Amino acid sequence: METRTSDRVHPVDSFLCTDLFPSSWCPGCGIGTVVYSFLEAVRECGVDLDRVMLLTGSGCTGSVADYLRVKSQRAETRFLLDQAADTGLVDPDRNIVVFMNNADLLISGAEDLARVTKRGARMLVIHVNNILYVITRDGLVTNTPYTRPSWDGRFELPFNLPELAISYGVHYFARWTPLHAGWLKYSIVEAFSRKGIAFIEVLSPCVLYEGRAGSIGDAVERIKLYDSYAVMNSNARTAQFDIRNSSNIVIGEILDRNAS
Amino acid sequence: MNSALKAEVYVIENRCKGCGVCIEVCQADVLEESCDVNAQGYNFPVVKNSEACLGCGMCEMLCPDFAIYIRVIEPEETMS
Repeated sequence: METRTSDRVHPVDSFLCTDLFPSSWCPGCGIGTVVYSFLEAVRECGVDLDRVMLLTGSGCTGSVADYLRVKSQRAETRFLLDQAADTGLVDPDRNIVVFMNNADLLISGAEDLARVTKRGARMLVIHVNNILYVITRDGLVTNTPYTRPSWDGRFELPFNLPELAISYGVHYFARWTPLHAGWLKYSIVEAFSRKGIAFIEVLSPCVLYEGRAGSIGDAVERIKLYDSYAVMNSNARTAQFDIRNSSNIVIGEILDRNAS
Repeated sequence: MNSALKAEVYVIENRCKGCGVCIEVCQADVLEESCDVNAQGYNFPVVKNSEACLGCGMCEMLCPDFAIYIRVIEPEETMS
């Protein structure tokens, strides 16, 4: 029987502020897929959403907190990971989830990650890595591949984020793209049961600014591009996870320190 | 396709932003872009071949706007 459009209820609608939709993200943005995978993972592993504290920072990833019916805080970029660790100290039973982007992690928070991991905090960090710094309009971050020169023609070498985070001592590290939403959901389910910091990097291209640069067109083309570039290899050495290697992008469940 | 798993696809039209990802990732070629536009002026997807759906759920997983979902029909429900 055909249902009317107004009667249709999405399976994760109970977690969403549905009156705020459609969201402010661009058509085909990867953040929506990441949020869906997160909500599906919450549904699957039976985590009580009242016991989840969501922390977000700046930019498009920061507005994740606006659309979810979760207790949330929006921290300043600099203090995002510190605030998450402090929230965990106040209430150790609470599941801390941090959505962060390049501005929160690579511009000002990379040293905080080291400190927070050494303190032994317990949280799930979902890093939406769009290899750009969107606020400054097509700006560079320390994670931009060197095949794209900046506005003044400089080349900047990105660093290897998996190697950095693993050397800091995170307990779980996985890297996926939005196309691998099923695997991403599996990783988030796994990460909820880890004792230390579980770090999940999602390589999500920015539709607006990468489209402007001419390298990737619309959302459909970037899906095809990521399908052609992504190689799943969980047993690769961490040096191979560098996105500077432009022939392929190695994805997978990179590290699992306390596998049960 | 005589598969045991059957599913129905539902589109929440007013949430769609017309990115076309669901049409691209569908392996069974179930969806197509409509000629109509929704309240925001985007061409939302419509179901053109409901029988072919395999129930993989890729459209539901990859939709960034929570605008499409599937409902898997149990085999006994199909027989009745």
